Amino acid sequence: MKDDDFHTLFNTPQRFDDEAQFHDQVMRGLKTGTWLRQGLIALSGIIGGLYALMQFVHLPGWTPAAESEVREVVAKTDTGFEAGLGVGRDLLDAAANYLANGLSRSTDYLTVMQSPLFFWVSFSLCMAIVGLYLVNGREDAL
Amino acid sequence: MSDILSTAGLKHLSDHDLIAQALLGASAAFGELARRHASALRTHLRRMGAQGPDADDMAQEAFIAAYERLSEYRADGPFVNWLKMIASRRYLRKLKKTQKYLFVDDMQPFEPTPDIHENRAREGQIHDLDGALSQLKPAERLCVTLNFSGGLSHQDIATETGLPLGTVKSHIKRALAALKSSLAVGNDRVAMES
Repeated sequence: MKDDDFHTLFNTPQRFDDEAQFHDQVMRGLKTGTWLRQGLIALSGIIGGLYALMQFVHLPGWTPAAESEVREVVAKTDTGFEAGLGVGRDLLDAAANYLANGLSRSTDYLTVMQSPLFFWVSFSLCMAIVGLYLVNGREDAL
Repeated sequence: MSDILSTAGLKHLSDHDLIAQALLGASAAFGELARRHASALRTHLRRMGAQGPDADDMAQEAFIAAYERLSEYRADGPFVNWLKMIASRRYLRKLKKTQKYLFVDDMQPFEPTPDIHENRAREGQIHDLDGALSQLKPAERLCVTLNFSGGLSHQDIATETGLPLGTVKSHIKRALAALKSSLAVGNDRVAMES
């Protein structure tokens, strides 16, 4: 046997019964990878955009005292209106409380997101993710 | 355009045309490339010594990596050789992590199969390369497959495996001698039986 014969032998592929199944598997893997990557890009865009937006949001004259006033106003609705509601009164109370709590909580988040600590924590996290991505990319080199 | 990209139309395109289409975003074109070369890639990994499910997983990973880095393909050789190179590197990386003693000279073959010629001869396959390969030592099998199937030079194999050039050359020489002898024995048996 000569080297050319070996080249021919080595370049003759085996036959597989599950060729179609393997092909489907490869294409599914490609699609999943593409969707994951696009999904991650979209998600990071949304999170980054929201964070940037938070930096510009300032509620005028917002203080803890003003917050408690709002809570009180929202929670205590007009007594006449309440009497007219009858059975729905409890429901309205619960909704008002929920709204007041939600408003209060959102302003807490806003305050935290605008603090220098939050900036440095998120910046470090981003850098760590970029670092991991680069290390992984190097290991995954062709 | 839609005619060219139809499944039937893709079958008539060359690898380079399909790559150009895939680079423009036609994943169906890459699908055709995968269909065309899947068997060659799966066979190559098995001949290097990867076991069935592992070989298929690595072939799939190689296709995905190739799709993601398709723009890095320089067209300086057949596309299938580029795919084999990607798959080979992944397999070698895995071997180096999991089987550190693979390249030691006194390692035994993965699957000694003494009667394999008999089985294949019954099926009418005279040149039973896979049976003969399974009787080689892992390092010999790896080097000779990288050389003849992967199209790598001796120096490239030394670089990829981390073995000295002289060792690679002697592995290939011994492997070829063993393959010649095994295949000749296989042929003789078939001739005698028929």
